[in-house]
Amino acid sequence: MDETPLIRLEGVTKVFYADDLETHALDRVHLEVGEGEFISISGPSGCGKSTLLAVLGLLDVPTQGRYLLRGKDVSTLPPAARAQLRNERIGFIFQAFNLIGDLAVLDNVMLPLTYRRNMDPAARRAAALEALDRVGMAHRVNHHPAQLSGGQQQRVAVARALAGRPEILLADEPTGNLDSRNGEAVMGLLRELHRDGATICMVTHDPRYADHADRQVRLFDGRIVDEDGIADLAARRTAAR
Amino acid sequence: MTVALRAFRDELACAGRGLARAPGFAALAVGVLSLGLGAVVFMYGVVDAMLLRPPPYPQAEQLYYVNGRRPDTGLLSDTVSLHDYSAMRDAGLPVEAIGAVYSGTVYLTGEGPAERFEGGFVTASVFDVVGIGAALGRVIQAADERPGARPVVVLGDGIWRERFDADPDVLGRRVRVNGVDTEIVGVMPPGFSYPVHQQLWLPTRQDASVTPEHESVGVMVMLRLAQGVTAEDVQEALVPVARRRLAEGMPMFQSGGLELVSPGASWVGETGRQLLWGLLAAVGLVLLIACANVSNLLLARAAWRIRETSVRSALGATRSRLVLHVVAESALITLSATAIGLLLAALALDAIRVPFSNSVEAYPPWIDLAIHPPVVLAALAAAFGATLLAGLPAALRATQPSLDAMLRDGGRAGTGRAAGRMAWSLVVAEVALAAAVLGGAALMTRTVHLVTHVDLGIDSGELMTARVGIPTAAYMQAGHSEDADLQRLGEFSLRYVEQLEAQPEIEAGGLTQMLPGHGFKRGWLEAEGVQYASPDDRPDGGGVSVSPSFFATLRLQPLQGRLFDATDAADSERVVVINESLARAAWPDGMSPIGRRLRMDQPGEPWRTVIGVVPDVLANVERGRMEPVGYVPLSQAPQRFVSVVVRGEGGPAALAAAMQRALVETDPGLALYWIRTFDESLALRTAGFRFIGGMFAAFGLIALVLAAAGLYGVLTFHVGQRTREIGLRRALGATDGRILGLLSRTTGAQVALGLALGLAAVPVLEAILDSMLTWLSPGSAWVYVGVLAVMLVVAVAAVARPTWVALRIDPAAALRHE
Repeated sequence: MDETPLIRLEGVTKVFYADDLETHALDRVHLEVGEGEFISISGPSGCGKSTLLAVLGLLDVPTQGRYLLRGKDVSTLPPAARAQLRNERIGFIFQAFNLIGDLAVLDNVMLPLTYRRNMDPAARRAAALEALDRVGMAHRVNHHPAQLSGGQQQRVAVARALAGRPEILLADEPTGNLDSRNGEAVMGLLRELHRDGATICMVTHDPRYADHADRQVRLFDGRIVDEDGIADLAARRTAAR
Repeated sequence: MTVALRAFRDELACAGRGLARAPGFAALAVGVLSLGLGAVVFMYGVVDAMLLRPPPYPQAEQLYYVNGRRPDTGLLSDTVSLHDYSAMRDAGLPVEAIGAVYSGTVYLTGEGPAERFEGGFVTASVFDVVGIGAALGRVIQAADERPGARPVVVLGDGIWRERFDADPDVLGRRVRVNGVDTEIVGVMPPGFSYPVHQQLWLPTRQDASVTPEHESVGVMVMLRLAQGVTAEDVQEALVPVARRRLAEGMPMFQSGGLELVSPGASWVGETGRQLLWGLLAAVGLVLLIACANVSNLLLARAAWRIRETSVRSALGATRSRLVLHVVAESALITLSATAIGLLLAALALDAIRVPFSNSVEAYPPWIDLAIHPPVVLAALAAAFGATLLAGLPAALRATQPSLDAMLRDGGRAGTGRAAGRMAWSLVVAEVALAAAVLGGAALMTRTVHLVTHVDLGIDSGELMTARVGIPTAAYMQAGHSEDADLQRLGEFSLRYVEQLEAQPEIEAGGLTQMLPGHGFKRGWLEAEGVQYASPDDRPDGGGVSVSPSFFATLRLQPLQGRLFDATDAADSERVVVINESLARAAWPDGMSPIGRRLRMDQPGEPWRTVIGVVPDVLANVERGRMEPVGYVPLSQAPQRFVSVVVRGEGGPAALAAAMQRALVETDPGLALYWIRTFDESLALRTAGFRFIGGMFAAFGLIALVLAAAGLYGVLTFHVGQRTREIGLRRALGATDGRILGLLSRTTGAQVALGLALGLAAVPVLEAILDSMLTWLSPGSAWVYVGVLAVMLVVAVAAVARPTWVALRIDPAAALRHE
C-alpha cells in the first residue's frame, strides 16, 4: 500500500519583504494531508492562513522548505508548470466567489478547462454542465454572476472548482460571505464531495464549519500551534462539559 | 489548429464577451484608436496615391523619371535640359527605352474655332517607355523628329471624340496645329494622358546638337528598366553621365545631378515629397498618442480587473495565457478600430478627392486618392503595431496577478507602483506629443494663413484673368532676325490690348508676363553707381513685363514719375517702373530714383532708366511679403506667354467672352486658357499650401482631442481609484480646496511636464519644416503662447468632470466604496 501522503510540507517558511520590513508569514510549517482527508485551517487574522493556502495551491512558493505533492517536490517548479498543476490537480473555492462578471455561469465554470491543452470545446461544456448539475445550478447556465444570489454564486464557484476533477479542493472561507442558510448549504456540498473521496483543505474562522473537518490545524504567527484529530477534539469537548 | 491558435481563439472569444459587457470602455478605446488609425490610413492613402502607386501603364513599376538637382535651390527638378537627355540617351544606360517629353500649349485650328490644348512634345521613344501604342493609326516615330519631316500629330481619345466625333477616318486629315499644317496620324486609347494630362502629342523638333545649351527646352526624361536591371543599377550608371556633364561646365552636376524617382514622386516634387512624408510622420505621432491613450485605458482596466486576472491565474492560466488575454482584448479593439479607421479614411479621401484635384493645377488623372490593397496592408501593419504598443503595458501588468486581491474579501488592488508610473508617464507622453503636433500644426497653419490672407496691394475682387500663348510658327519665323520676331510679339500685345479696350464690357485691360502674386523671374538687381561690398548685398528681386494699361487695370497710380505710354516703344530708351520696395532696396539713401538706372544681373539685360515708382503689389504669394519688383514694358521685353487681366462689368462670364472675342479679332488662330477670376487663380496657386496646412490643422485637432480624452480617462480612473481615500479625507474635514489641490498635484505635474517636453520639441520641428519649406514663416512667441493656452484650456476641460465628481463624493458612501 502506498503510504505517501497526497500533500507534505517540510519546514515551509514564507518571508515577505517590504522596504526594511521582513514578515515571516509562515515559519517552518510541517503538514501532511492524506488522500481523501478533509482538514480545516483556522487562526486569528494575519496568522498566515491565506499564505498557507496560497502555498498549498501553488499560487506562491516557499522561501524555504519543500512542498511534496504525491511525493514530488513542486516547490521549485517554474511558474508555467505550477500553473498546469493548479489547473489539473487543484480546485479553488474563494470567500468572495471570484466569479468573472463578464462571463455567464457556464463560461465561468468552463474557464479552467479552457486552459487545458487537449480538451475540445464539447468536452469542456459537458464537464461544466455536469459540475453545475452536481451543485444544482444547471438551470442558471446563461445567467451572469450579478444575477445570482451569494449562495448561488458560491455554488457556481464550487462547480468551477469541481469541473476539472481536481485531486485537491482548497476552500478559503467558503461561507464567509454567506448567510447561515446558504453557508450550511455550501458546507453540505463540501461534505458530500468529501464523502465521494475529495481531499479538502478549508480555511475557516467558524468553529461550526471547522467541526465538519476530519482534522483541524490551528495557526498562530505563521506556525502550526495545534493539530487535532477529530476524535481528540470531540474528547476534549466532552471533558470540558 | 495548433494549441496556441486555439488558446488565442478562446481568449478572443472571452475578450469579446468582456468588451461587450463594458460598452463604454470599448467605445472609448475603439473611438480613440479609430481616430489615430484613420488619420494614419488617410495620410498613407495620400502618400500611396501620390508617391508610391505607379501610373496605369504596362509593368509600370519599371518606369522611372530622371530628375536633376538644381544648383540654385538645391532641390530636385523634374526637368533637365535636352542636352542632359541626349547625354543620357547616348550613354548606353541599362534601360529598355528612354525618352523625353515637355508639355506646351497647342492651338488646334482648321475645323471649328481655335482651341487650346495641353500638348506633349515627345521623342518617339517615349511610347516605347510607356509601353502603350495607338488605338488608331500610329504613334510618333523617330522619322517624325527629323528636321524637315512632315508635321504630324497624335490625338488623345478626348479630342478625337469631342472635336472629331470619334471619326474612324480621321487618320490622314490635316489640321492646323500652332499655325502649322499638320497630319493626324494616330489616336491614343482612352485614359492615356502621358505625362500628366496631355491631350495630344507632337514630335519634339529641338535638336541638342544644334541648339545652344541656354536655349534648350526643359524636358522630362522617363525610362524603362531593362530586364533584370534594378533602379540602383541605372542610378549607378548615371554617375559617369553627371561627371561628364560637369566636365562640360554644367554646375547642376556638382551635387550628383541626376536621380531616379518614381513617376508620382517626380510630379509631387522634392519639397512635396518631404512634406508628405513629414505629414505621415506627424500623423504617426497622432497614432502614438492614440496608442498611449488606449494603453492607459487598458492599464486602468487591468487594474480594475486585477482580481479577475488573479482568479484566472489560480485556475491555471499561465503568464503567457494571461498576456494572451490582454493581447486578445487589445487586438479586438485594434481590429474594430482598424475597420472604422479604414472607413473614416476612405470617407476623408473621398471627400478631398474632387476638391483637391480641382484645386491643384496639372493634377494627373492617374493619381487616385482611394483605399487600395497596399493601404489596407499598411493599415493592418499599423494595427498590429498599435496592438502591441497599446496592449504591452497592460500585458506586463497582467503577468503580476495579485494574490491579495483574490484571497481577501473586497480587496481592491491599485495599479501597482510600476504600472502607476507607466500610466503617469503615458499621460505625460500624450500631452507632450499633442503639444508638439499642435505646435507643428500652428506653424503650418500660421504660414498658410499668412500666404492666403496676405494683402495683395490691389483690389482684386472684380478682376478677370486668362492666359494666352503665341505659337512660334506664327510669330517667330525661320530666317527672320530675333529683333523682328520680338517686334512681332510686341505688336501682337499692343493690338490685343487695343481690342480688349474696345470691348464694351471691359473697363480696362492689360497684359502681364505674370499676374500679381503668381511669381516672377527672380534675380539680383544692380543700381548704377552703387558700390556693393559683396554681390550678395545687391537687392534680390525680379522683373515683370507688362503692357502700359496694366497699371490702370490694377488701379495703380504712380507715387513718383510716370507710367508707361506709347512713347516707350521697342526702339526707344529702355525704361522701368519700380515698386516702393525696389526703390528702397536699390537706393537706400532715400533720394528719388527717377532718372537713375538699374538692371537685372542676367545675360543680355540692358540698363534701364527708372521713370516711375508705384505702390507695392505682392509679386509672389508663396513668399508672403512685398518684394522689390521692376516693371518693364512688353514692347521692350515681349513674351510668348502672357496673362490677360481685365476689369469691367457684366460678371466673369461676360468678361471672359469679351476677352476671347478680343483675341479672335486680334488673331483667330489663338485661344485663351486658364480663364478664371483673379481670386480663383490665386486660390489655385495656394491650393497646395491650404491642403497641407489643412491637414496639419486636422491632425493637430485630432491630437488635441486624443490628449483631452487621455487626460479625462486617466483622471476619471484616478478619482475612481481614490474615492475611498477622498471620502476619508472629506470625513476628516478636507475642504474643496484641499481635494482640488490633491487632484491638481497629480494632473498638474503631468500636464506641466508634458507641455514643457512638447514645446521644447516645437523649435526642432520648426527647423525640420524650415529645411523643407523656404516659404515657412518663422514661428513667433504667439505660436508657443497659443499652444500653451489651447493645451491648458483642453486640459482643464478634460479634468473638469472627474474633478467635479471627486468634489461631490459623499464621505459615508465613499467609505463603503469598493
